[in-house]
Amino acid sequence: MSEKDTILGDVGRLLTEVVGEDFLLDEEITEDTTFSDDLALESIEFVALAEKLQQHYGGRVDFAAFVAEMDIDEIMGMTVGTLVRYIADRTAAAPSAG
Amino acid sequence: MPFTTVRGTRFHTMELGSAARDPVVMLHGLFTGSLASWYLTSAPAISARRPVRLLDWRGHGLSERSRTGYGAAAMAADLDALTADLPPFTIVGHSYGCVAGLRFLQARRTRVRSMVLVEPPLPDGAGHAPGTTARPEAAALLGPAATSRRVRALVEDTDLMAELAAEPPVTDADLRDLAAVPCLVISGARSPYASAAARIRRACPAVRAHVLDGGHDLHVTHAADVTALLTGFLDARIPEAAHG
Repeated sequence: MSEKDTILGDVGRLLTEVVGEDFLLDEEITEDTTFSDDLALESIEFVALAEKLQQHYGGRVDFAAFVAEMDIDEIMGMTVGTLVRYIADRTAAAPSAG
Repeated sequence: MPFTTVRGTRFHTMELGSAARDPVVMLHGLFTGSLASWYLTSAPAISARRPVRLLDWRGHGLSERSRTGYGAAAMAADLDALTADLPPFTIVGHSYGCVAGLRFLQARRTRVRSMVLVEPPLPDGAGHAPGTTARPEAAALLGPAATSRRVRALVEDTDLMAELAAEPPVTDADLRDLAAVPCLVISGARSPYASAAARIRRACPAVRAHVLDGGHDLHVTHAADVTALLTGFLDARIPEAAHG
């Protein structure tokens, strides 16, 4: 399983924690899945996902800095793949100790 | 994820930034608002140099939806409890967050260092009710379900509407209390509350005002401009040691 597949799995799992399993029954989470159009995510749900990912990956990622570079329509229209690539880049640069 | 229970209700809060001084607490508006209103707009940039605390008001975002407690005085009491650990801080409010912030200033003057009111929802002559968002496209940017499921539950399953209707109006005497701290108002020229900045300046000439060419949700639609005004205001205030 590649690093990106692992991260994609993490995003999917934490997304399910945020929105509940029923919401994602008919939706397979892929790198092309968009948060607003495909998942109809509310902005607070995206933020909740970012909080869970921040907690999971710790200081290696900084989602506030990540979204600071974008307009709100870019953020909500983001694909899961964009988020996965950000996490992959940050965790490759600073792998967890031990 | 940080949750805090105060006054019998579980609140979702968020801390941004690692700076140690000059905290900023950013307050969202009612109905479609949540801490995402500021997290996805100005809060990250502000947090580069100052610690930022965000919160979901009760019944909003991930905070518990209580039956009561939605009036500005009750919200100010929630704010009091949720910031009890902070030194004097700056309040940045959007829409009804401005009203709650004003009531907090009146109740807890020494806890407030400065105020920024973004689109304070003061009624104009046509009597638009406080707390409503008149620009649906900005609400849509915040998420399609925000304007349906969550808002419907807030309206139908709580006393929010009745409590808003019973709210005492913000008077010119109330607005004069803004002179107690450095204060900036940012309004949208195309908002139903476009007259608020002028009204506040008439009541309290010490308040600085800036009008942008936007509507009620200009913290979303004009995020870069609002962020620039916020950082400019925060940087231009007198240092803490010299503040009264």
